[in-house]
Amino acid sequence: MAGYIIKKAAFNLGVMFVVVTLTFFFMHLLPGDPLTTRRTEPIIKENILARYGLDQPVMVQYSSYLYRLAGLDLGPSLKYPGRSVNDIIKESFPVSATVGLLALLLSSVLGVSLGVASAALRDKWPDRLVLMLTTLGMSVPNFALGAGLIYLFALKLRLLPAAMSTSPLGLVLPVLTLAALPAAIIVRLVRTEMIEVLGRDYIVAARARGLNAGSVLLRHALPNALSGIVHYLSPLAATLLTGSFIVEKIFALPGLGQYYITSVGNRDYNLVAGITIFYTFVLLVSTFSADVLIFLINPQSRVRDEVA
Amino acid sequence: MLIRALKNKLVLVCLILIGLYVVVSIGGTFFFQFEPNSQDLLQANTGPDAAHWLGTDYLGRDLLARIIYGSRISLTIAFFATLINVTVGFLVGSVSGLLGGLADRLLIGLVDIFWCVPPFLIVVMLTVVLEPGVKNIFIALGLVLWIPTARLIRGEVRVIRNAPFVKFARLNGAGSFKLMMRHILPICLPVLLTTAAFSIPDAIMAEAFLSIVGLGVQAPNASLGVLISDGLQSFRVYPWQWLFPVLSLIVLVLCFNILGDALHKAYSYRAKGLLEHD
Amino acid sequence: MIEVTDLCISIRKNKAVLSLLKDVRFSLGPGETLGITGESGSGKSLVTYALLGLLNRTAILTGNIALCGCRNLLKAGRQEIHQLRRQKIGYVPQNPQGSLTPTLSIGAQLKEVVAVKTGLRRKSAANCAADLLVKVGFSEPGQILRSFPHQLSGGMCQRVAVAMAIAGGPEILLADEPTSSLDLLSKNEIMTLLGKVQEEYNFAMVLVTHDLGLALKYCDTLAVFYSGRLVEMGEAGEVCFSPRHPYTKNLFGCFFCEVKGRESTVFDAEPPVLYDRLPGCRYIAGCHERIAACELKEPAFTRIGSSQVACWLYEGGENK
Repeated sequence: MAGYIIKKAAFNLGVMFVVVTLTFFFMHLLPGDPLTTRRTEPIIKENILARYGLDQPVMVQYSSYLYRLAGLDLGPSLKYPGRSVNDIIKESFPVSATVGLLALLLSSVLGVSLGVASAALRDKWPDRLVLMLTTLGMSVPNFALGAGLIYLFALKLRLLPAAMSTSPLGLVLPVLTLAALPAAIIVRLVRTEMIEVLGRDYIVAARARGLNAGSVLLRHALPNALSGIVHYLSPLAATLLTGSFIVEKIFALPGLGQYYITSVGNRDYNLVAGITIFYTFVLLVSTFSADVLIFLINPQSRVRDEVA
Repeated sequence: MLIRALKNKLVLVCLILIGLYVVVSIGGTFFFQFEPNSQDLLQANTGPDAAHWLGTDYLGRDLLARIIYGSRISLTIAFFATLINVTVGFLVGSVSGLLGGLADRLLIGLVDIFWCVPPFLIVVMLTVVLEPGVKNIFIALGLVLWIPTARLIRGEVRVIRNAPFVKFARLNGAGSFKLMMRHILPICLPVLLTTAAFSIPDAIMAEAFLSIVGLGVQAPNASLGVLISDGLQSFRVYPWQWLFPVLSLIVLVLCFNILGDALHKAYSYRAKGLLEHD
Repeated sequence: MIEVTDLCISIRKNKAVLSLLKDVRFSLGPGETLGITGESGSGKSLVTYALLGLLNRTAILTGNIALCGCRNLLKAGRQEIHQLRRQKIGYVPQNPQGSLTPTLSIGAQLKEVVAVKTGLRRKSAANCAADLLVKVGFSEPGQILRSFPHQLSGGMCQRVAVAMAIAGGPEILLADEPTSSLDLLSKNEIMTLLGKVQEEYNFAMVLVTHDLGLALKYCDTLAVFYSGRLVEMGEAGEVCFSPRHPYTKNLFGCFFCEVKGRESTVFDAEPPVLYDRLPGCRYIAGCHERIAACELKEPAFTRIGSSQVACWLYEGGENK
């Protein structure tokens, strides 16, 4: 088991390294620099560039960048003087994460239960209804849903706050908006996999042995179905956890997403790099957790890895 | 089986709607009197009425005209992005699947890495590097979308690779490229069609996302995304400016999704088992 | 105990009705063993599924199955079928490892089956499970209970399956090719085990197998299937050593040649696909003894001695 974890961790670190490097060089490919948006005297410009070490040759910048990263320091923001990238992330990520986590929870619970129910009632009317809803869910983008929900619940019915509120009530609409698409995807995924699992020999045998229908579904079929799709769920989870830029924009929530786009426009190298790295890190962590989860759910995978 | 899919009434409706969209958006304001970019500040922000069927925006531009042109741009972007997606995806996937070895491992490595990076990061970065503009948007989108397609095709090719008819063709002296085109492509066609059917709505929505973020199509041109983005600014006061573009997008995307679903079902027919399943 | 009368199974496919099994009939009392044999795809397993009530609404069943007090299984409700599966029927499936849930330990699965079949809970169920494992020949039940299916060999998995089948003392045991995928030693092990528990519980056993040696050794009555039809059925010894239906002759002919190491007579023709409709006897293509009547109509059952044969050659008593 330890060997498995180490191998995975090493792979993830490798990916991080590649991403970090690519981000760095990508940023430097962009036309312009952090100061293009401001008009400054050439001398002042030089000084500022020197202060941030931006006048050094690229490879030197790269190595000092790597050095900094080793210390988990993402550097100072080039656009917001006095604030470091770490700080910015620390401030705004919790908001994104809260919305993301709640959306993840909601969409998983909803997705799995509807998916299982749909598979169990295959081709009967609840199944068809669910399929229709999921198609709809995948066709209505979150910028549509979010604004629509605001219009309906906040402005017309005045039930919920319209924006900018991080109170529990204020999070209801953003979470619903964010959870819609993933929920639809999860329902489909779970349904397909469950239908496949329900056709397997051990399910037929379980039924023949007189086991309770509910138990067959939940205890025998579901874990096997889940272990087949966890692999697909981790990128989904990561996208959710990092919040969604659009949702944050529509609901005016002070999350991490908004910083990303503006910093790209501002050529704030450090912030862009920092956020990219952070996002990738989150994604890798969730992929890793997913792998560990499979490991735990499905005993068969343990043997395969021990042998390998 | 394709025919059977088309017999479904819902699918037919979707195809008709899509056809309508395409025709109208290409025809443009040939059918209507207003230009999408002509401003009439006196008429700004009016709701739907006899003159402007869908109302006007904050600069007095007719919304219906803008939506028609917007659809044209969105569809164009989606179409070309899908083209790149499917072409590059098929080429890379089949080369990788057929040749195996180093090329194959490189591809899988690439796919794995991109799997680990949130896709929107890549798209955003690409659109910033390339100058914003219609052409570059669909290049950027295509460059991101082809990866899962390639993986899919690679999987298919690896299965087909060992089929007798492939060996037979090789024995007859078929080179790899010819092999790909004449033998493998027809077999992968269903998968490619389904991928394309789903890729178009993905691209439309991705483009909308980019526009909202500010990286999409630039003014004065408008795609559906730009219209929605503008609409988002003012939807609390002038909801129709957001509603109509959004509805157009949803209907378009929905039609393609239903189409894709039907195609998928038609090609992956699984015989119903005899044993109970509830 | 089991009484099957004129069972026909068909399916609806694209508005056509295709016949899979036709006119199957047999009866079985306690302690008796019926062997069902025939080639792959002849419909052997379908009979088992029908007896378990596992066929869904895609399949159309006509006829009658009377089972342990239930007068017509085909009209029975969900509850009744569940009741039968729990209290009266034991099932030993074909794929030993594949028929056990991979994500649950043997203990978890076995305890659940015990609970459902005997009504025991927790500790008593656990004890019962351990006892059952001892009964099927495991010397360290504790270790088996903690293991997972992929950690056990095929033979061991099948012994677990037998343990699950005999929990609660069934009146009928359905064994669907229980030894097909096992090696010779395990085959013997399982069959001996089945014989032993049958003596103890005195259940009626339906043994589906394509291994003629096993059929001969362990069955009282033997039913031979061909392409969805019951062609011959009778006392095992008689069917083996004095087969009457041409197909049975062919079958056992090959078998004995193999056993004796001789070249066997060529076994012709592929059997027709189950749902192909043919006007006459379905064995026409491979039959060396056919007569004119064979092409016109499907033969009905004739009684000869203690057997029943469906063949025009025996119409109105022994012909040959």
